Amino acid sequence: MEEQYIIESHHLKKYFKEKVALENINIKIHKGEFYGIFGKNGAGKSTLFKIILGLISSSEGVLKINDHLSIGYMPENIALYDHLSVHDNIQVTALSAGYDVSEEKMKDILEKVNLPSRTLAKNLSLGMKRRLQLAMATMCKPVDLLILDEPTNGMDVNSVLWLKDFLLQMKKKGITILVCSHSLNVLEQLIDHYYILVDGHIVKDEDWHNELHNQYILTINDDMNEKDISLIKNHFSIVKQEDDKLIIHSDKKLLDISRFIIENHLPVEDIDKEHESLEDIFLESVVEHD
Amino acid sequence: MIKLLKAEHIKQKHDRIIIGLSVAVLIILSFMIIWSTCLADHESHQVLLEDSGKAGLYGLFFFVTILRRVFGLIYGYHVIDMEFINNRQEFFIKNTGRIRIITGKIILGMILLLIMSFLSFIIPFMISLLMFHQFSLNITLAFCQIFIAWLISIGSMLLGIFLRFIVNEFLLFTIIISILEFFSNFFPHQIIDFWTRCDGFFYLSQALVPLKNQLNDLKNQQIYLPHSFHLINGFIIWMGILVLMIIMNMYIIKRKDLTNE
Repeated sequence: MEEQYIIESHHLKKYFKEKVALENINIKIHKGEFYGIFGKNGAGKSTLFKIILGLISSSEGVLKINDHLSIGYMPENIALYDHLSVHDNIQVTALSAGYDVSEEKMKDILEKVNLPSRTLAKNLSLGMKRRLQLAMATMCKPVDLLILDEPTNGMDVNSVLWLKDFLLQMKKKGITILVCSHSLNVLEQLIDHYYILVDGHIVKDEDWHNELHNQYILTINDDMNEKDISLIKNHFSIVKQEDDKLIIHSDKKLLDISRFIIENHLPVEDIDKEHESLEDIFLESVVEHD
Repeated sequence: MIKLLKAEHIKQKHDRIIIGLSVAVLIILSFMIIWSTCLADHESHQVLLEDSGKAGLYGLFFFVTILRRVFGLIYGYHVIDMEFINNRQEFFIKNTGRIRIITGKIILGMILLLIMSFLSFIIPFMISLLMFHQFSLNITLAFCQIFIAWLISIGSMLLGIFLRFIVNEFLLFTIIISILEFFSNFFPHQIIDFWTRCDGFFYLSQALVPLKNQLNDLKNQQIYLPHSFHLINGFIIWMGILVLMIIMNMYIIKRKDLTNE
């Protein structure tokens, strides 16, 4: 049976006059997963979001979106009514979307985002404004898909930690999340899948879990012989072999691999997860395609 | 729809430009009636306005002919502009919906213009009544004239909304409409003709004849009505123009890329 996606694009293209903003974009978004879209400024991330949101149209290609999807969107720029209080900004967003926020719910929202009710939006710090905007995008109506464009911009360390926790809660609720951000280390622990965009092209489309968990580095000593190597080969696939390092691929857990090494008296001094950070992957991809 | 209007009301009731504009119009009206009846010299003093009903109609006439267009245009322009300040339109277009946004604004604007038309009658009426204690009120006439003033005003608001999608700069917009309104000689007559024909006053002036008749005895002042159209024809044409302007605004907000202003 064909897999079901809530968003699916085929060969999506966007031109602004002569300039190519997006070229041959193929993305597939599963329900309930957390997606990161990364790229340098001007790579086309925001353009892609705007096309998904229906704010601008694509020049070519097909974009299929589930009709019944309720989308919460937080743009990169601050979009608040400065002359209204925190309370009124939330109320206006909810009412505009056709929902009423009871005072009890309002209290709950304000507690979650840790903001004062009566303060005017123009008097909030940048981090507080982002928290308010996030509350407006997510809590005023039931949301199936959350699209966040650079949510960490202008946030201090505490706000970033708060955001991480907040997004984790959203993920647990089964909300599909699409984020683009330069704070890759923050998202590393949250994302399920990522795309890297360079000059409007997707240069990497990977499942983050696969990359994270299935490769291990074995530090071997001089006693390692051909027999040991073939024993390892029989149980795992060897990705790379360097002087004193052996990188293996396995679906087993670290504990099981350690047990295998001990039981077979293999001359392995250390075992570690192959952990290339998202930042490293991003930099490699960008340098490679620049 | 009620929720949408409630949301729009919260946005607008704290907005300084809208409050300032409305208060300014009402203060100018109040000042005009006080000046015309008390502060003017003997030659210009309007004894007629010491009759409260006529003072109310005079306020309404002043609103329809002078203040309504500038008020409607700036109000219409600003209610759309308030979504574009700091590029916040993306957030509100997505989280509210394009058609919902504009529908809420048009309906609330129509309610506000009805209130303004009513106040432009009732404030001079009350001032005159309090000062001279001469009560007279033809409710049917007042109601009909307020209704006509309201219909004429809606056009100005819709034109203001439309112009916001064409002109991004508030200052430029204000300068253009001020010159068109107050220094029309600077423009070729074709433009001025077109400008005056965009206006409900041109089509519905016949409906203001009862008001003119009530104010015929004003000193040193001649009330000019173009009488361009028969009442029914004018009414049908103006309703057509209003519907066309609503459709045009809906079409623009639906089609125009509003994300790269």
